[in-house]
Amino acid sequence: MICKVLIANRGEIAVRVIRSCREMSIPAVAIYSEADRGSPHVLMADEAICVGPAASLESYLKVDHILAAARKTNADAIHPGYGFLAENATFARAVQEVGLTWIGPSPETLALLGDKVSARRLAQESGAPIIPGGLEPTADIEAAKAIASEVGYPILIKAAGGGGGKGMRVVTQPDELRPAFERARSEAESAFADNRVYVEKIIEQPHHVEIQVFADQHGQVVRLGERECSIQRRYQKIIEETPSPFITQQVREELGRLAISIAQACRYRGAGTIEFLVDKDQNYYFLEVNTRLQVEHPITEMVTGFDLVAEQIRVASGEPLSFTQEDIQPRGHAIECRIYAEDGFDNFTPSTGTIVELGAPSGFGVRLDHGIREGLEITPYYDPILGKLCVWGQTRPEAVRRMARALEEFRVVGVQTTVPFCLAVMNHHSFIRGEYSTRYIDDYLFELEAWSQADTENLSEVAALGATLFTTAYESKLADHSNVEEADSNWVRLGREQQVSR
Amino acid sequence: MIFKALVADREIQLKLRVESGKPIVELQEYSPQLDLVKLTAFSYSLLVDGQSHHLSIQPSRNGFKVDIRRRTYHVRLQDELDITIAKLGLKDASLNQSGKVVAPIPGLVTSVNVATGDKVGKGDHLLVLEAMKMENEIRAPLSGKVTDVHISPGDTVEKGVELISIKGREDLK
Repeated sequence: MICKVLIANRGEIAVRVIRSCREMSIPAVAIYSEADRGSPHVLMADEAICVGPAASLESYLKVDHILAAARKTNADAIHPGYGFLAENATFARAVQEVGLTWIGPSPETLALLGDKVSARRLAQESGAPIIPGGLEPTADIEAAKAIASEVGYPILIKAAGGGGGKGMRVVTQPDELRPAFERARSEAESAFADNRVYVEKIIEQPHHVEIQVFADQHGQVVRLGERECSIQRRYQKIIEETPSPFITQQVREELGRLAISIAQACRYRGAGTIEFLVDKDQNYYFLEVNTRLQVEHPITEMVTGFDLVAEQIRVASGEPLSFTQEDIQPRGHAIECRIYAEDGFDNFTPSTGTIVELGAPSGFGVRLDHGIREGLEITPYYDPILGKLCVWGQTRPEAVRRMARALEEFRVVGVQTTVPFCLAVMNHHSFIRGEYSTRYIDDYLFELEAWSQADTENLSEVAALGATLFTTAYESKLADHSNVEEADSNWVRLGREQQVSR
Repeated sequence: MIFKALVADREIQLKLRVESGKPIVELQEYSPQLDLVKLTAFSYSLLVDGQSHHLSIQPSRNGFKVDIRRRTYHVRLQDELDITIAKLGLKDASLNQSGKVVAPIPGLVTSVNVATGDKVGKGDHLLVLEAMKMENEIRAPLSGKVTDVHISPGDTVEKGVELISIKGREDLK
């Protein structure tokens, strides 16, 4: 059994992994950058090692520093979390070469599935449909033209070397192809050092549905249901739920079987997610495999009752899976809202600053995973995720109402968050009915914003607002008079006091 | 003290004063019983005629952002002094018998509602001047006919610059 785990990550996911380690009585080692010295994952860990300055490239992505930290603390395993080096085959290999246990799939599997072309071939060989055009990346405009006319417009141009919306272009007519192709190719070149792109058929009103799989080193593979992740901004998920309110039972079964076949075909090990696109007519296509723990794994934990991080650690230690397919009987409904330091009603612009007040929701069926605290500065160096709010309910309507209630309790002062956006979604007719695709935010952002805005007809609220502002302004005036030298506003001063006193 | 608050697109006028250490609010015809407790530097509990509100307040780019359970209020405030200044500005314009409407404050013209030749009544909405991220409606100081529009949307104007000329009814005779 693994004796000490080093977590090569930060923020909420590092906290999440530390929690399971604690429960398994395994000491946990945190790594941190100079900007993260006071972060909760450092405070919670048994040991903590600084791996470099704020910039990720010089700290959380610095392989030799991380390996040195493991050596120094005598950690015998590395958990990569998600993001950073989690899907990096070179890192996984380096970890194994120095004799440590890598908590994740083998470096060979990471390399195979990390390459879109080989991943899609594998999926196709396992019987999964592929998006037309998706098997032949190209850097040649003539080849692109040929594929486009074969699969039919509208088409999507997509970088072969990576994701995140970079190098992506929608083309509706043949004469738009050349300029879009050139731009996508140069974007892909600068972002991923790979100028090959796919020319794919566009899937209309697609749903993003993924299957959680788990495999041990003894050939056992199970699936733990699906997650619907169609509420996305900039091709990144923001709200997920399980089960999907959209797919039919037949599609659920078929996707589950395909996911198992794909995992078996690459002799998968540990936690993995097979992603599919499902169109409005329930036709589905293989998208990719995420060879790591997903951000949204807690909702699967809530409906199945299994701790996926603990299971990752056991499987990496060589133990057989602690549950069989028959043991997995998902119950009820779970929803996750990602809490980003972003203003949902201002283009999801990242927000930085100091968290001066934090009121966390709780109560029956509520789970909050986060890596923040009062007094913590949210810096621009890393992913803006602050945490994840998850709820469980017997039924979907109960879960939606519970999430709305929990979001109403959530108070983060000092940075803008996606809490108001998520709350508007929970109160929006289309989400309540479970009718939404990845087009949701494009279609409804205006309605969501209108819901979230001030209700000036509510005199009680307006009176409360006025009295509060009055008191605030009055106090700040008093402060201005009492301290002429203090040029900054009272707010800045209060913020500073809070930082100092904590 | 009179507060003018711009909440979303609406302007709300509140009369506020302190009586034996407690704030009193008058809002239209409504003057509820208020019980305010400051919880932290950034949050308050208010009982407004017994209705419980838990607010958090933080400064934003152009005023305050206030969260009240379900909703977010973006508020821009004008207090007594600002209102007085604004009034003086507009008063200057209205006193001008030649019907020159001048900019009471420096700002950006965001919309113009009238054109040369239009007939306007006193108090009609002429244009919007954005200053310090506040939208100020400039109204006609007198009834008459627009003889000249000196600005168009997007223009930045200095304080005192003539925006619109109106020939008063008296002069039209």
